[in-house]
Amino acid sequence: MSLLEVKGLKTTFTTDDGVVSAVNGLSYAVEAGSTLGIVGESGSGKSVNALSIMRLIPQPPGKIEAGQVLLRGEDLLKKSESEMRKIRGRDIAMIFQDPMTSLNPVLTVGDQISEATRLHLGYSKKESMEKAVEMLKLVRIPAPDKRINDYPHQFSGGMRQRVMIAMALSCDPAVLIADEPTTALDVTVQAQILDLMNEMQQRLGSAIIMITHDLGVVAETCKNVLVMYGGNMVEYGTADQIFNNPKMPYTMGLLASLPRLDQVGDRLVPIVGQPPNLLRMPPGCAFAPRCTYKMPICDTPVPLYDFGGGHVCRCYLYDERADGQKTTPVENAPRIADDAVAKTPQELSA
Amino acid sequence: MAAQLSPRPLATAGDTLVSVRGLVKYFPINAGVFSRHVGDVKAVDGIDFDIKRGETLGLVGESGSGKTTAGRVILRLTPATAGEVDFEGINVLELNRRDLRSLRKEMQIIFQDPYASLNPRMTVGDIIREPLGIHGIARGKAAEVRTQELLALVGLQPYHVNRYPHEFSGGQRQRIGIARALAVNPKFIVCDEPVSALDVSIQAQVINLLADLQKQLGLTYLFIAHDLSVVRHISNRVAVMYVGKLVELADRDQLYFNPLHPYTQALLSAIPIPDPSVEARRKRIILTGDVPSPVNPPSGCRFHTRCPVAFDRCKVEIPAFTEYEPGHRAACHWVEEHGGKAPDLIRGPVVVA
Repeated sequence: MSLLEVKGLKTTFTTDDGVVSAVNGLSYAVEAGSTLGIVGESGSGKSVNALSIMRLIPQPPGKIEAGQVLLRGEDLLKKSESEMRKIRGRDIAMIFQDPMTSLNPVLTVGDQISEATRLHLGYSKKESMEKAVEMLKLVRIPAPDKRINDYPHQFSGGMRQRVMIAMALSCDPAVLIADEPTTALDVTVQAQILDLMNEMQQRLGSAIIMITHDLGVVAETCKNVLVMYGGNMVEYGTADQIFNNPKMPYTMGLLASLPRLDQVGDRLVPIVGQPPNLLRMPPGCAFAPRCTYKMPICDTPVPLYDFGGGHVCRCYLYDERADGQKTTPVENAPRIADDAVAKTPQELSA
Repeated sequence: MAAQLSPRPLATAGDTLVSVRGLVKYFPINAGVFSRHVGDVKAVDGIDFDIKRGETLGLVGESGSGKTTAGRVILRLTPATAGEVDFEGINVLELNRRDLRSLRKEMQIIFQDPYASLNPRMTVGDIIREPLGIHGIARGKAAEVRTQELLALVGLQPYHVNRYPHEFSGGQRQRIGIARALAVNPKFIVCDEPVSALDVSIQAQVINLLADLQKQLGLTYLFIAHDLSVVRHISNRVAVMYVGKLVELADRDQLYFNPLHPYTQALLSAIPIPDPSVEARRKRIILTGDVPSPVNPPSGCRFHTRCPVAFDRCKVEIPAFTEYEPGHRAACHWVEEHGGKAPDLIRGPVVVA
């Protein structure tokens, strides 16, 4: 049994223009001690997925329509709000993107960090403050016994993100969800925070779900990678499979469109078109309108194809039914990772 | 005047288009009932560099390094505190209002946030036409024609002309911003984080567009960004800023293969590369602490508080911005005392062989 399992999750939002399925039938699992990267662009549903696990979707307009979120086999979606409150912060903790707005400006950081241990573990005020000092020390904030009485505005962005991490980890959660934890930070500070999260994971053995749009961060920190597009998973595999042998044209396109620090190409190969409008989703593959390999069959719902070793992808290129429909794209063909440079769709399916 | 998009002759390619000398920008901090002047945010504190005609100079730095302020002061969108900006022999910072306005035709800016930099109450057509009218470049029918040309140039459709910015996605809005900047046929464009707000798959579209336009129209760019991967891709030369000062300036490949300044080295090593096999082999230089505040910048070398090889001299003496190999300048005492060699921060402070 996996530590955390998400099955057929579907979360919708009611808007003036209609109902939007932000997450549409998403399933995956996370093992203890490992890091899963969830990659996607804005609107792909990666953050809604995290908020759904935490049951933090504002209701209305949001609604978790279907699915299960199994933590050690227990369905979190069936818990009452008061049961959920005991789980949040203790079993599953979350680090938000923006450390500036996710700390309470009128409470000292000590109050904020100690709250979790007092509520969840029944620590006394004194014990919980000692624990807070210990946590601040762990995340390498200098003079933690003094800083504990400071307010969030007295910390820099990177330090605030450390405070967030200290807070999230103070009850040794089994699962840590980090939603773009370093996006608001400078690169030198990002390096510190990622290093710190890695060290914390080794110490505490937590599972981490790292939600990000930065493929570099994923390559650096994640064991497994889930690529999201238009509210659902389009590819899943180990970091090595995703980066070195991507199967889904979207994943290939993302990798080809990235400028890399260690390479200088003449020209980037962008993905044409725009991300999908969730109100007007294509009937089949969400990526089909932008895909250079688009075939008529792509307008029907796409099943998952298994490549072994846990590598799955949602794309008709790997289906026998599509054989007669494949075309070799002339222009803008995704530049496939090194080991697959010359592969045409025909070769890919072989 | 007929609108034209013919490429500008590059007969003088390689000469200096913009020259920045001793540029300083302090933002005063006033406090108390009488708004007494109590200090300054030293956003830009004496920087020198040249931008050659037809090239892209990348300007990188972390938040608070002063890179955006530098771009704005060069265009005189913000008045400078001291220094000179020479554009084709004209000192931009001393021009009167009328001359400055006519110079605006030559120098334009593309802003970071495509959501905030377009007036939501103007149609795309109005936005692109506005500079044409202000500078008396084209009116009426000619302006219509020019607007359509510009839309086509940035990859938008003719029917987009009557739409409003909210109807567009981020990448398309950035194209509108680019068309607006190009409307007056400028020579020099400051691109202030033009792709930072865009999704990864859209970034590449805009980067390619900027590169194509440069080739087609002979533009010169000052490309300001915090993303070194993007800067490396698009720039010919790269300048690195840290708390208001330039720490290194070099040809793109010199900077990436032989970074001299410890800060440049740390910055490069901090950027994750989207390839797990490469990442597994890389060693990272983790700096301690945060970027210092430009209100109270550290004495001497501004990087000494975080520098792994700092020594006594760094705390008191401001390092000179010295040229160590042709076109490669850096401001570091360590490098100077070791005859232009860079410290090896991964294996300890020894000279790179």
